[in-house]
Amino acid sequence: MQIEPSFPEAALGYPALSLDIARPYGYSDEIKTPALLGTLNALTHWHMERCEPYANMVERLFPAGAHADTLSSVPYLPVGLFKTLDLRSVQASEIIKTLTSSGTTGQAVSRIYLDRETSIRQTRVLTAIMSSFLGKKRWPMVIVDSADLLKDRRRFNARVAGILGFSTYGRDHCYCLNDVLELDVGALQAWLERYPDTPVLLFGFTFVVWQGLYQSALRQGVQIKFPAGSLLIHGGGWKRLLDQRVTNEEFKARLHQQFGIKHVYNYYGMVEQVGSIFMECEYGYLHSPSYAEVIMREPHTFQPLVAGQPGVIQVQSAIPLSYPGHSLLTEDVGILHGKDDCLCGRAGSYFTVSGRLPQVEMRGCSDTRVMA
Amino acid sequence: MQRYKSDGMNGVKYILGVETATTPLTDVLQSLRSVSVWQPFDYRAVNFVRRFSQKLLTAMGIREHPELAALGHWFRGANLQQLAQKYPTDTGDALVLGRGLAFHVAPGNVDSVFMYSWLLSLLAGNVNVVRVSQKASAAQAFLISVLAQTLTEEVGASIRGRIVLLTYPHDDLINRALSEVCQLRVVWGGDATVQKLRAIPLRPTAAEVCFPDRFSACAIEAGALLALDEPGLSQLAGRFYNDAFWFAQQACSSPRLVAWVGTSESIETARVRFWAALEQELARHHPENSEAMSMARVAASFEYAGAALARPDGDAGLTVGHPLRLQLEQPLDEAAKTIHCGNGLFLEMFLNQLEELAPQLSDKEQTLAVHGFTRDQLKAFALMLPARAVDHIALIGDALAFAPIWDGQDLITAFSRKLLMPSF
Repeated sequence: MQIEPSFPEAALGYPALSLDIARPYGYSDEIKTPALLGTLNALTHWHMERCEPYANMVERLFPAGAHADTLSSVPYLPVGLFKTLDLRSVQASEIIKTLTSSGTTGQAVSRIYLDRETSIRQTRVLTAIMSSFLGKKRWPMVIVDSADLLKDRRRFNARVAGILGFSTYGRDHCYCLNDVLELDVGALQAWLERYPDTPVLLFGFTFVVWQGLYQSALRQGVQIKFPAGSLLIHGGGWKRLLDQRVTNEEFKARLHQQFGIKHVYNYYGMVEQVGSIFMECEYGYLHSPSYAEVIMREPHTFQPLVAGQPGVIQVQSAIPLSYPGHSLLTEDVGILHGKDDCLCGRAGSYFTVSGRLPQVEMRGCSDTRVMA
Repeated sequence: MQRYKSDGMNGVKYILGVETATTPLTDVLQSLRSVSVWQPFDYRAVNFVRRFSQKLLTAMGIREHPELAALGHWFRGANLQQLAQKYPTDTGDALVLGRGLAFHVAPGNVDSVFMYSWLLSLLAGNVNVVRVSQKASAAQAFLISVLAQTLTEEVGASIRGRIVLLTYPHDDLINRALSEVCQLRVVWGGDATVQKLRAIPLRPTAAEVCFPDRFSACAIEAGALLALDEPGLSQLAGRFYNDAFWFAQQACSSPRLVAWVGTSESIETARVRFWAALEQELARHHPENSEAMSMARVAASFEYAGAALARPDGDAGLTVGHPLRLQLEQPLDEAAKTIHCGNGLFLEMFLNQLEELAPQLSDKEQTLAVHGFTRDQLKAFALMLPARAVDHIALIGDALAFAPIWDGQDLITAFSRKLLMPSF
């Protein structure tokens, strides 16, 4: 069988991954790790040649540079740097889109610069991951958000980018929330009448699904049942739900109970690494696809941890060309549970996310960055 | 529905000094303005502050707040008496009086340095309205409860109308209302806060004292350090520990830069000895070192490296530890100061002579903690400093110690005025 290279543009000199893109969970560690390591080293070299601050950091902080012999020695950047620095590896004229993190008002946001090639790679990888969960067909699709959010296309924040990215895997989209993010019961019911027996795909941000779909339906006292086989994909972080003490288990149970949705898949992803997302399996574990990896690090020494120990999550992705984001240290905490042996049958490492690192406390007389 | 008389400033929450929560701010300010001004060190203010300090020192739980114990200790009766003697209230040709209503803006977390300034304002004879942060901290609650108790005692009777503690969210309307009526505005905070308040006009006759973000450093003469015996070295490391780790290196006066002065050989040996001794201090005290603090240090290291400003020792790359040390690759500049986040990160610099440090400093620098220099050397250094650079040269260990001269200003003098009198 002829293996199609994941990124045929390799011929054009872009760092590529030598694994079949259509098999995101089809490679065991012995095959995946050397392939990914090769790509990540090539990406380190790529960005060092094109992004001066990145080269400065790697030269000073990571002696292995672009010659790492393990995935854990590939240089990484703390994800917060994209908030304080403009990091890009392309000319300004080649930027087609700038993604920003959602960030609450007043907080600095990440700025991620995308060129055409990076954007294509993101779509390819996301499509491969989605196909493995959804098949090739396009599902009738409910977007759990307000259509108003998309009206301002000048800025792509994480939510808009997510909605636009995922909406290509469905058809006949129904935006089921109104402009104040309350469930528009009438519109949703009318739309569902068209699909009495066809499973539908729902997509939304975790806290929007919880507040706008679940809690809003409860408040309005409506019972809506989605067709059997319907599937919800949600991501964006648990912070607001954890504040309300809602766990993943409860989230799933309530959505099943209220809407009859049996298949609920969380994903872990971030605006700094769009495309190579980590999807949750039927057993509740997040899975690394072959173009990505996670490494947990001890929060005081940053040494890599073995499975079972909670640590700061580092994410690696074979995608980013236009910004040095192929290896990032997040501010999330998680536990690696194993590699290649999840009961769901998917190869690759699998993990859970337990929360965020608490923010650093400001003290002393220099603490008032802005009057708070 | 009948609306309560409102002045549009509904975000104000009174913490101390105003009985009825719904009293409009304009009414509170009106009544504060009519309170008479005292002369500095009026016995009523002195008695109150002395009693407050006593209560603070004996309050349950004070051990958990060593910085508040230091505050209580500083305002003890004997020290107040000494201080009062330095500020005569009648010099024959002039009478000294408080300025009037003082509006204080505290930094994010009440920190003891800020408490010093407004207790001094009370001692200077002023009536005080203090805006504290919206974020309540344990130390803040502790201070407020002791203050409240002291106010209910007999010594508090004459002080009750002279202190109002309040808080409010970002609101220029409220900042404006307070700024319009006060005779003195005292602003502690980041540069952004200072700029924000600077933009709000004061009465033409009012004065302002600001305490913005500052940067502090430390200079060590390598030879002098090498001359120390083990107990001497460990004492020096202990004193450095107090300066740098008491407020997680976030006090304005905490050293963030260590300038080594000497030959490169002596510096190399001195550094090894010094950091090893500090390591022992850290092992002994176990200062706070949360995961977030560790992350903040690392993130700052990346910023330094990215801008080619600083790098780790040797070529081992990033070693994540507490403390974390980086060597400056370029003279200290504005960017290098802005990136620094405290939390146990030290920039190191190597110099042949102390004077080489002078041109690298600016008005951003506050305290230089030193070891191993003579007064003459320090004086020569001070005379070479750029305008407004460095307000305080202290021995290592005394960087955080409060002095009534702060950021270059004599606070009692700045908080009071002189009324010229005819000589008879």
